[in-house]
Amino acid sequence: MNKIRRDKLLRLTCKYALVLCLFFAPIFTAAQNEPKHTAVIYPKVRAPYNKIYLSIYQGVKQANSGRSFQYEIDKKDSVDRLDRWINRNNIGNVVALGGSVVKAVSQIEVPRNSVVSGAMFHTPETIKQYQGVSMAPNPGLLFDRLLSVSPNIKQVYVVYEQSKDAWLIERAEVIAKDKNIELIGVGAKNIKELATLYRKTIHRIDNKKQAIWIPNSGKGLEKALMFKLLEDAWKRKIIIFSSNFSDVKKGVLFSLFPDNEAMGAQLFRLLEKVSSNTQEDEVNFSNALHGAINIRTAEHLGFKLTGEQLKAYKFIYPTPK
Amino acid sequence: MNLRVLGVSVISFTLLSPCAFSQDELVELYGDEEMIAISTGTQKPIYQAPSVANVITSEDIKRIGSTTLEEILESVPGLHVSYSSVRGEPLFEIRGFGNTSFNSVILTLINGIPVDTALDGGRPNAFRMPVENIDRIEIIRGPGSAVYGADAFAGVINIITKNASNSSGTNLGVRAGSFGTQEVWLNNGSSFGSWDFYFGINHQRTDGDDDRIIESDLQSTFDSLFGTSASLAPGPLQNQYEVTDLRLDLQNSNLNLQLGHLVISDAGQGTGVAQALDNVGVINSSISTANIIYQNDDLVENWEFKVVGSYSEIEGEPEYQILPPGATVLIGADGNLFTPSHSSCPETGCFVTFSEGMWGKPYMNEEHLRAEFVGIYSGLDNHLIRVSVGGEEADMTGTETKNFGPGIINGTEGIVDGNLIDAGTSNIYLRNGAQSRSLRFISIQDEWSLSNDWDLTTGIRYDDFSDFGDTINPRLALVWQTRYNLTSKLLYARAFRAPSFLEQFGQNNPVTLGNEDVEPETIDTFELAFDFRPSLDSQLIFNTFIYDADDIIQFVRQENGSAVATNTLGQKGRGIEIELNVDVTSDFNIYANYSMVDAISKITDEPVPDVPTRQVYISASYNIGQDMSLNTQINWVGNRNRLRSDPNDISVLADGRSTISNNTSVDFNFRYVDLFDHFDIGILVKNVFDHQLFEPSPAPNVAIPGDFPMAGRSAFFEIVTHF
Repeated sequence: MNKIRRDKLLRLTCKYALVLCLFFAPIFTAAQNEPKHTAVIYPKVRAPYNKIYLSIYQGVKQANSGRSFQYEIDKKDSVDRLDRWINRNNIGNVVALGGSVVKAVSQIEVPRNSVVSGAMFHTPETIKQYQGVSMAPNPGLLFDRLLSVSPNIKQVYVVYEQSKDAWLIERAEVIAKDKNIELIGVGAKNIKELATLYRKTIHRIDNKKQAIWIPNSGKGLEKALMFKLLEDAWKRKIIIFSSNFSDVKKGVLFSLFPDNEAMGAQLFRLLEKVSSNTQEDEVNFSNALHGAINIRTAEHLGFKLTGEQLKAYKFIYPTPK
Repeated sequence: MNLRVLGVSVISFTLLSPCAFSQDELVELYGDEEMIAISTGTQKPIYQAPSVANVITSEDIKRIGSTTLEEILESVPGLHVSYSSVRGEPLFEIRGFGNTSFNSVILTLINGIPVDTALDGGRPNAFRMPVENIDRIEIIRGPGSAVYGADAFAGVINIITKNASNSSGTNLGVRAGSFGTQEVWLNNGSSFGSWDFYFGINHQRTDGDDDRIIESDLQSTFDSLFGTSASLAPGPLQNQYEVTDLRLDLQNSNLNLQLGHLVISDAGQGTGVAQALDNVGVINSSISTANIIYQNDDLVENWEFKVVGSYSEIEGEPEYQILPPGATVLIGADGNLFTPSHSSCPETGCFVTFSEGMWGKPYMNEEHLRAEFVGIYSGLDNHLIRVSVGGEEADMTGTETKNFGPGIINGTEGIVDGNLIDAGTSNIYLRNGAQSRSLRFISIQDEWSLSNDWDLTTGIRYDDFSDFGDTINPRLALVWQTRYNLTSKLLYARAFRAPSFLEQFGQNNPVTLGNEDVEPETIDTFELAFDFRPSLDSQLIFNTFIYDADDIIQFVRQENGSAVATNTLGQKGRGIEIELNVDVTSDFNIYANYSMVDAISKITDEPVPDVPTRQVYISASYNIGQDMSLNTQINWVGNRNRLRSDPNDISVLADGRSTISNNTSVDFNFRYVDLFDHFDIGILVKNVFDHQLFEPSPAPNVAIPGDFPMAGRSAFFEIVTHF
């Protein structure tokens, strides 16, 4: 009897439990299926540096049809606090800006396909941790700009550190070929050799058909070397262009620098691909760029840029009226 | 999939400290803060005209710790700020010019619109300007009339105020320190849709340094001559003032509206308007401006257009106690000091005692309506052509109440009290009590790229004034990109200064009588300048100049003792200016300049008196980490000559006093930014070593025998919150 009653009770309990489960199932399912939000995490820095991160956030926000959050990491922040914030806001994807934020995010165990990184210079090594968009401009866009200024250029020399930039030159060679430009890589074993090779290279260049590209993977050229290089280029009327925006003020002909809002959108699109595992592991260059030109150098080289042509450059140095 | 945290308990106390690293990363890409500000649209790049110019930014002002316009200008090579003997207001002296009562050889602009009055050619009475609404100051040393027109004679100072593109967020700051100085400011830059909005208010007050004692003044001389004891000397110079600066800027892609209101109130008059200390008279003045600017470069191919409309009103309301209560002086039949006596007076003349002081309250109001249309054409190969046409209507009205002068007293009164009488239009300081002036101008400039490294800028401007006639002012600038790190410039320009209303129509004040035949002053200047960059971290600018100025207007003393505006022979000068700027490390910068000018009066063939002929300025800035900075500046002003006699002109008397002492001042400024994320603090010490600094008192009228003492050591503390 007791056994029968016990079995009946058990059946009833299971039945009600099942009904309850069915009743609450949609709620659980809803919780489980609620779309995850996207967070842009960046370090707290003072103005005007912070504008770069804020613009990238705006770009992400505009590209994202879901909700976007921003988190500014403070000096006194802890991993615990960051984690609580992520959970509280139901964050599913992260755009980590800056090398230090990437490091901080990596301390939280986050699936690799939920994070992309930006506002830093990427190498094949850095993207092993998270995929990302590098601040370095796409070499293809640099070559396009070169041809628009000087269509006769057929060859571009690039002196680089083999240990750091071989991957970049390898990729740039392919891109250049598409533009009918031959990229001639001059590999240096170390910084010391880099200086020697730059000097040798600049003296062998035919300024009518050849130019020099200064790549950038985070550090600009050492100042004394840069000065000598630009001085020699001036004398021999050689085009030097650079991946480093600040080099325009020093005297290179032109450079490109990120349109930060568009960079935000590029990061979000990458995040979508990474999440759906449709993105190959490779360094993504910045594709949304502004032009910067040194008109003193341009005039010396004999390039007469009209007002219309100058409109293609957001930064003109020295500034025209 | 939700983000899961594993092992949080192990790492939860790990602090994240990403700031330093990330900022460095951005600096690597962008080079420096200026490039970041430009690339993010925070700051607009500044055009460097082919002239010898300096630009002082709001960052420079913060770094140095300047709290007034005159302090920051002292850092410019070849520029020294002295103080007027008339009202104690700042005089900007450039290359041997400027030590005159009204400083009218310097054109001062706010947002490109002149603040100088048509009445005397100088800035509004007791002009001061606090710095918190200033974005940058562009200073041209030398002539600028081919672009700016009248009065861009010895230099141009263009003060550009902030707008939302260079000042975002809200800042609230207070500053207080020595001499009862208090300052408060609030500004906000924000965007509403396609409109950018900036509002700023900045109020500053000070009692001035009361330890600046004048031992003897003009009234002391009268006291000893006439047996009275009315002088307030020994007593302090009156350097107190209050100033409020209000700015509103509204702009979208084509349109910009700028409103400004600068009010100077209760300002002291330094030594007193007649070199007799005045501890009760004050000056109130204001300048209100509304500018509307429309720009479009998409209307017609190869053309950029800019239209500027501007209205400004300047008011001056000084109350001068010319002589203190109890002053007894000889008054002539026209009611003025020391003029020919009334026929009923004894042979020795009529003495009048001003029981409540000798008072004058000359009120002035000026309205200026300006319009300019600028077109820039870039459709011709190798040429950039700029055409500008415009005009101005200036209307000035004045009233005057006083207890002396024509129609008010005639010297026979014996005692005159403080009851002030309206002088009416016939007895006021200016003919008819009102004057108007119309100006029409056209200018054309061509920047011609002669070859790859050579540019020639030629410009000419024609001005036609309704009162004194027309002038033509050409300009040539040949710029050669000599080497990668060297730019050479050869410049020529002619400039003019328009005779002021006072110089043309002044009346009833026997020492400032107008002359309708007076011609504009002219100056021709040649300059050779080199901009050399020995390395990527250093810059050396060297320039040398020579000028010849003619028809300089002075109130020349006549045989009857009065002084009438007259074109004189003028002055010539030559000199050099050298600037060195070195980034010793990324955190340590040294800037230094040296300037030398030999300015010679063509009347006396002797050095122009009172202006410095040698100046040295050194500034060292050190960033301590990311948050702190320390700036030290040393300013040396030297070799100022006294007026020497002229055997050919009896009106020039020698100044036999000993030489003017040289000034050396040292200032410190410490700043801590982003304290608790939202606060900046600053500690500023001026004239740290409490050196005795002097500015020359005028000669040959040595009413004040000693030179004017300047402020001693002072300290200020400021705190700014930004959100």
